[in-house]
Amino acid sequence: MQIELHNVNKTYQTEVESIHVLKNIDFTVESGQWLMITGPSGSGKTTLLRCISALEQVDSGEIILGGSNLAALSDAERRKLRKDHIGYIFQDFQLFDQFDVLTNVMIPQLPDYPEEKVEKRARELLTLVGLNDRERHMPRQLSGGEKQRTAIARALMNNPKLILCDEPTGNLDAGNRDHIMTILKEINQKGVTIVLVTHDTELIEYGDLHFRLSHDGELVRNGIKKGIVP
Amino acid sequence: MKKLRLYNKKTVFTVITVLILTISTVSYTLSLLTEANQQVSQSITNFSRGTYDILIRPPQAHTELEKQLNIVENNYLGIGDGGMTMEDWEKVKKHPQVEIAAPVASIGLFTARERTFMLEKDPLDAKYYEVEYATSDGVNTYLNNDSSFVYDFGVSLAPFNVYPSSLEVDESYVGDYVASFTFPVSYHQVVAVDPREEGKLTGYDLTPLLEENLLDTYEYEDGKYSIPIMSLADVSVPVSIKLTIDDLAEPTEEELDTWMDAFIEGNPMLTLIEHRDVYHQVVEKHISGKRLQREKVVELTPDMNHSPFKQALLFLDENDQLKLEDRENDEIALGGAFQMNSQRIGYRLSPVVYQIDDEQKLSVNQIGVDEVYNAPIYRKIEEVEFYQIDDSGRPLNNEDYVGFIENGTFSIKENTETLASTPLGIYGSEQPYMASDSKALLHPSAVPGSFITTPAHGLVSIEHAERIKGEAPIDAIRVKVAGITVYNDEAESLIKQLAEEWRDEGFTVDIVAGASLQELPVEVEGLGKVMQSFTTLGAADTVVSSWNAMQLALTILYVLVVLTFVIYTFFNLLSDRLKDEQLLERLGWSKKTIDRLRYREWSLILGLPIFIVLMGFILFGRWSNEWLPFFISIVISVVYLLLFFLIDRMDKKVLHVVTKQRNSITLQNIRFYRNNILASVVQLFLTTFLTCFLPFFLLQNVSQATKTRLGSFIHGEIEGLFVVIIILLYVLSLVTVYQTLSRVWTLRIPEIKLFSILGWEKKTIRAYFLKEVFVWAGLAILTGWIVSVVVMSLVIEITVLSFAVGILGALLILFITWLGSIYTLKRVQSKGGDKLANRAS
Amino acid sequence: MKKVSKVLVGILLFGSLFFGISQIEANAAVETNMTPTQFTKKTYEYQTITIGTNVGGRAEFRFNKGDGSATKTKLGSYSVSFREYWTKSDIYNYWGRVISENYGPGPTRYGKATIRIQ
Repeated sequence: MQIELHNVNKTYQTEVESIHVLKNIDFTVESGQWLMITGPSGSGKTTLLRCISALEQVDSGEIILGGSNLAALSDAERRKLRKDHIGYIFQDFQLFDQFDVLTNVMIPQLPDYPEEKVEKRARELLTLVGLNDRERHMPRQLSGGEKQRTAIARALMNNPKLILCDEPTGNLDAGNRDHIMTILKEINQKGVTIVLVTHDTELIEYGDLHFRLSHDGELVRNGIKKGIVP
Repeated sequence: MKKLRLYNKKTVFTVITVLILTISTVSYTLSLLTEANQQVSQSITNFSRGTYDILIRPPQAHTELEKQLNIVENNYLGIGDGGMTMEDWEKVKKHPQVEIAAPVASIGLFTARERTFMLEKDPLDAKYYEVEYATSDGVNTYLNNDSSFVYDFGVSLAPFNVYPSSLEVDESYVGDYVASFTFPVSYHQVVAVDPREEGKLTGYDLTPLLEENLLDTYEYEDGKYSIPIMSLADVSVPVSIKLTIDDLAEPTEEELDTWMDAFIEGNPMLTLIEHRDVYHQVVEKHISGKRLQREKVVELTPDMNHSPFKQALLFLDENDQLKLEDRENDEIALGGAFQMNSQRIGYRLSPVVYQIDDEQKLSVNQIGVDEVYNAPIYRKIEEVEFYQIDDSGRPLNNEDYVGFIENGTFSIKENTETLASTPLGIYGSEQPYMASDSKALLHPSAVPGSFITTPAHGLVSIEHAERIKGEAPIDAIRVKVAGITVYNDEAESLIKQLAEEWRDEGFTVDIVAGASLQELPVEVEGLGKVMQSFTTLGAADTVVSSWNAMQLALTILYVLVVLTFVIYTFFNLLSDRLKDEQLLERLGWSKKTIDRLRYREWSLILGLPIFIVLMGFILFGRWSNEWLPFFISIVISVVYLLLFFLIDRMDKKVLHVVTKQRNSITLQNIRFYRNNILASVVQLFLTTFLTCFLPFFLLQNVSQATKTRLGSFIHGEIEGLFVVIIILLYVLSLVTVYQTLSRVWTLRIPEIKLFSILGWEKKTIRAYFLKEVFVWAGLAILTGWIVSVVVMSLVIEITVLSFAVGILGALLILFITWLGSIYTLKRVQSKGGDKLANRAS
Repeated sequence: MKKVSKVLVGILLFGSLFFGISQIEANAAVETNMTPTQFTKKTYEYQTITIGTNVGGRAEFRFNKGDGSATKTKLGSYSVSFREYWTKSDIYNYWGRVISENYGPGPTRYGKATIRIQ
């Protein structure tokens, strides 16, 4: 899925001040590319992901996902876009503590498809992330890496064209980090666009593109690998 | 550390307010319950025990009505074949534990004195009189088949001036200046009582019944052998008279000759008596034509103050009003006729046979029709001749003579309050009425055999009962036990012990403390559905047990609801700080210091409300001198403190269980949040139980008691309190459910958020959560309903109605919970799921 | 005792004397006369019986045929007549009595009626 951001600005108004989180962000990610975004805490990385995923609206500028201008979409259309085309992976995994691994993975499709079908796909995905022996485990019984792999499996449930990863390895040790990145790489190689925000500069090499958000919310294009459109 | 607080001010303020409210309302409500308990005991003492405690009747005296429904018809002691002797009564009376032993011996049904009413007539005038009688039972009017007439052509034609319709009419017709006609017969129940004992029971002065040598020149031998009787003052005599008066033309000599030729042997009276048909043909053919058709019709109804055993003659005053002769006030009948043997024949009525169907509904079948009035008859009537007379009408044996001299009256209406609170079996003044029209009051017609058992219309002294009724005349003895001032357990056991003693002697004994009235529909053939008063024997027992049961049920439910609420609140408050306390521990705080911080905060949260409530009740106590709420609030405070320490020591960590079988998402959620929803589940269970069980328990159990006057009085007295308690119950339950829902949804804001990120629609998210509520609330409510049905089937009878309404109640609670869920979820969604997303990272 | 009270007591005594329920004995001064005291008649043949008294004022005169039928009364003064017939042949002890409003009841006088078949 192609991502186009044109002069995107986003400001948060707090009680004491106005924070300009994103300033004139402008870039394009082609379908199947992997964009790495780094930046310090508070630079607006997560906000950028939330804007791309249509969870938040921008103050100005436009975001075009797969040819659809998000600003022109209704709430329901944005929700549908998110559900059908976007997968989300968080630093803190955001698994449902009350559900086992299999159920957690099944969650995105449960409202729309028969449970047996969903379960079958969830199992396939758990096999893909190497957790087929953990499907009956509760999240608290998993390691950090396993939790994140569960989250990846969940993000893949809807066959997304875009996966947004918010510090997916932030809570993991080096071994687990590499494992997760390898899985994501495999997913990317299947044509899924990935946008990954991270502190960890070592991960940049996994991406096709790397942008850095400065402390004041501006985008710095750090480099182009594998043929990038600026 | 001094200023450190783990609870925010808002939480502390809210909890303190809630605790003040619960401690004070619970204390006050429980104190009210305790007071109500005392009040009920006192009411039962005052109103149920009242005049007598034990009813002794002959062996096998229980009717089917009593056996099956534990009720007796109103005035049930007014009918009876006796069965107990005067010696039996004396023995009971002499029992050291007996304060009053008041016997009742139904003597039978007697006609009032047979006498006439008269109207003045000019002896020379030729007049035609026609009298038609009718009787009414309050709903239907029944006409007498025989109309009576008299053609009176005036004394100038004497002795052939009077042509009556029958010999009976002639015997009552005095003639000359007195046109007199029989006052219609009515029947009146006479009951023998002991004037002294009955006086103690009722407060009536019945000593006139003991007077001797009363003079009554209307009685045989001026009343030498007569029995003093006190009449019921407010009996309506259910007859009406239609009097038609017409002028007659004087017959000519020739006409008279024609008439005489037409009569057998020229003698009208001989023709009337021996050739009745001929007589009437002559009257119809020759005499009736003399009427001038200037008739005047007068409708007469007896004065309401007309008591049944008055001796005086009746007359029509100048306003055509029927009056009882009262010479003291110069109200005079110019003449008339009367019988001295009016009470020679009496009637014994059999009790009404009530048919009781499978649903315990009552009906009464008609067993015949009265020959004179064509009025329905509902019970067997046995004619009893009390003494024999010779041809001249004199008793063969003076000692056998039965006749009543009215010596005073008694009134039920004036004493309704006293008598109704302690139905004595012969003074019931409750008139049955048509179920379709409460104003259509029924009373016995002038025909004996009505289905209505009347109060005693006449009281005579028990000493005459043996003479009239035989060796064992007494139908019942009403006993008041000596030395009881309060109707308590001790009193109850004494009463039971005495009852047992007499039961062992073979009598039918009932404890009737609190006997009270209730109304039941009776399907009466020929009339329709009638609401009739019945007496419930031993209503006090029912009232006490219903009160106890109700009090117990409500107290248990109330305490459970309150405890659930308090435990839930405490548990949440303590759980909420657990995370913070663990953090403090990780930061190096000692457990002791953490505990100290917790206790310090809780000393304010618990201590302040307790202090405020106690102070409040001290002030209340000083103002009202009512200290019970204060003492109860101390107990409640201690309970709250204990609960705090118990919950504080509980492991508040949520235990997660890995299930072997994968459950549905909903069940996994419920399982996961079970600790948070437990309180709500309990409250919903209790509320459903309360809703499904209590109303029917009250309806079937308590209403059994409230059907009686005593019960309704007592339950009426405390009804307000129950309403308050029930409202509190619902409020606390619903507050718990509401808090639970709010809390669970707030806890799950991250979930809501995540679903939103995953692209779930709002309604899908809502449906997802509501499904959970539906399951756990539904299960709680279903369990509450099932338990209520089980308990109902054990304690009371389940009806289709209770079953259906129970289901409706349960569904209503589910619906309310569901609405609450939607409301709380929307609130959380609006402030959590959506807005919380608005943060920068 | 005031005059009014005396009158009241007098009225009460008077009332109870005749018509009620009193323990006062019949006044011996009142006489009852009855004529005839003996007669013979056929059945259904009328006979007039007169009952009188020696005291003045209003009085109730009673007559009973002695055949078990009702006692008839007429209010009058000094004497009152009753015209009667008997329906069966027999000997009847009929009786009459006077009850004076002022002086109380007199004694019962009996007569003998011999009734023959017509």
